[in-house]
Amino acid sequence: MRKKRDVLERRRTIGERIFFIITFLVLAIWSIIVLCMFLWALMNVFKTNIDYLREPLALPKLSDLQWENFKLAIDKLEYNGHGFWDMLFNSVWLVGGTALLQSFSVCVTGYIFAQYEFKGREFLFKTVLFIMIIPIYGALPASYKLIYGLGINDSPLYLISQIGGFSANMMITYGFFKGVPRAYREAVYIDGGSDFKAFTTIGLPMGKNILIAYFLLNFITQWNNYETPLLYFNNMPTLSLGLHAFQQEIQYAANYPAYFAGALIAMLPILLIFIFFADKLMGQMYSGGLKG
Amino acid sequence: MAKQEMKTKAENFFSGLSPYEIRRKLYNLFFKNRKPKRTLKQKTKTTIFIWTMLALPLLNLLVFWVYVNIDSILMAFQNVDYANGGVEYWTLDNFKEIHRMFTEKTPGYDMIRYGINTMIYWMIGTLWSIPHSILLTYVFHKKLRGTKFFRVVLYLPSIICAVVLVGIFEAFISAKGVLGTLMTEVFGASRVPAWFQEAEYANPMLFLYSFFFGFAGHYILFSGAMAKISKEVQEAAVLDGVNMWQELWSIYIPLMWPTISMTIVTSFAGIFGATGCILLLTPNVTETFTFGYWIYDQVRRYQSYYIPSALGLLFTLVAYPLCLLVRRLVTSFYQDVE
Repeated sequence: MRKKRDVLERRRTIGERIFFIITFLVLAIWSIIVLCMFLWALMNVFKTNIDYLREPLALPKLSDLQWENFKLAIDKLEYNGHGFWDMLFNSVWLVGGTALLQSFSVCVTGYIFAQYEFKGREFLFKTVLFIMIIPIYGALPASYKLIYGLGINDSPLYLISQIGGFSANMMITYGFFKGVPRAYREAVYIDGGSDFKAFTTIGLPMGKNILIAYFLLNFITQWNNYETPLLYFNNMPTLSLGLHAFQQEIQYAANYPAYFAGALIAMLPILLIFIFFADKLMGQMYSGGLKG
Repeated sequence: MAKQEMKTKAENFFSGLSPYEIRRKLYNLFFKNRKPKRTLKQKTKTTIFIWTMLALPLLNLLVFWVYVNIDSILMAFQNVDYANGGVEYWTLDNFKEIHRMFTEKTPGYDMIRYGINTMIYWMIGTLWSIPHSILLTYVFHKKLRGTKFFRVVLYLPSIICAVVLVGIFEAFISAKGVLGTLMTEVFGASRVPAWFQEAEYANPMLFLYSFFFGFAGHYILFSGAMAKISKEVQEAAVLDGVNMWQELWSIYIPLMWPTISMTIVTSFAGIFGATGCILLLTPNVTETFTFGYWIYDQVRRYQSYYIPSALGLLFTLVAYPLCLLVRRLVTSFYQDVE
């Protein structure tokens, strides 16, 4: 084992060392700037607006940490008459629902395509491949017209438009379930079980990891999405929409510490997911997209 | 003794198998590897199961993809006569209007500018991001000092809400932020521009934002591809005495080529779609618009469907053959690599 490590980690030439040093420096500078930005914002959460305007680079007074900024942010985060708690509730059901539906439906379609031969399978499979490669730009107006035409904007019914299932992600779950021997399913038949039982006792438990990872990634994407709620959820705004309105407002009537506090609150669920599931998320992605 | 031997044999026969595999194995043992026969009733039940499971995704596909796209094509050839109660009529005027918008200077629209902005975003996301992401993936793979730390920091911008990231970045470079304070107090600048409100600075700052936070944008994808390269191949290359560039060019890039080529094709598929962070930073500075953002803005602010649909259709007609061409081109490289 030791020998193998040595073989792979050969001595670098001078040119290579210089390249590695330059890369290290560039990355270090970039990381310092990014972290400074966040730390600076975090530091200013605990200042009064006057302190921030007077001395934006100074540390907050430890004896006078402005915890009220969080309360102010909760009060200030408002969109079309909807307060923070309303928006949080909307974010949770919309984001959670979308992530759950999408992850479950790609698992279902991936499982069915990988495990069964049926009439129309080839056609549907080719349709998915076609969807993947065709670049469509003009669908937004038609989509907008349809959502408003069906009256599912500002409504939980909007979730039906988010089911998906036939998308590029299906190819990942398809690849995973392709590796599950069909004999397992046949063993369930031998036991007198149905296809549904095979799905719940074999498909779902085996695809549990891929389902969870895809749910988490989807949750992060949807939680951060402000463009779609801006189109369809003006009367049932989400937290990202409220934060967007707050961000537009501070350009004119700046209360940055309160904004930073609001940003921190909005970031919290994602940061918690990242902290608790970092290995899972990064591991799944680093291994070339999702894997089981 | 014989009993013990039989027990060992049985244990070996079933070792490492799941309960389902054991049942399957026992079934094969007694029924001579026959597949379990299924009655017509069971087969019908399976067909019902398949289509029940696919029903909702299929319905979704038909309504929210097939119908939407057919409607968007139809809308490209339609418009509304508001004078006669909002009746839709068939016309080619949308295309004439697009032609006029591209060829004549119209107040409020500068399609050439939007085109240039779109291309700059595309170049940042493709020509800059793909090569340096490959290089970074390589140096991380070769265990650059601090790799674990850099990986976490690189990952942060992609999980943090763009609204938050933009807000903090905007404050950070503003007159009361770190950059503004450094400019006035250290470098003696008389004023700090309102970066995103002044047209002169808005575009360069938006590009800078995309450039800065798009750093190593494809790293995550490429690192997965690089991790799959077998250790034996890497060892063989090292034993052959290749240098870093030879190793990267002749071993890693060819073996990662399916992922790289897919990324290139995908980037060409999205060539007209860039929206950057215009909605968050410069929604009122039209000089910063891209084609993608213009379509979004027309729909959101003005509920204008027909000309954006026509423009979208034209882009699809350009991008689709371009994609196929690029796909053919990129897949022709490294065909013999296994």
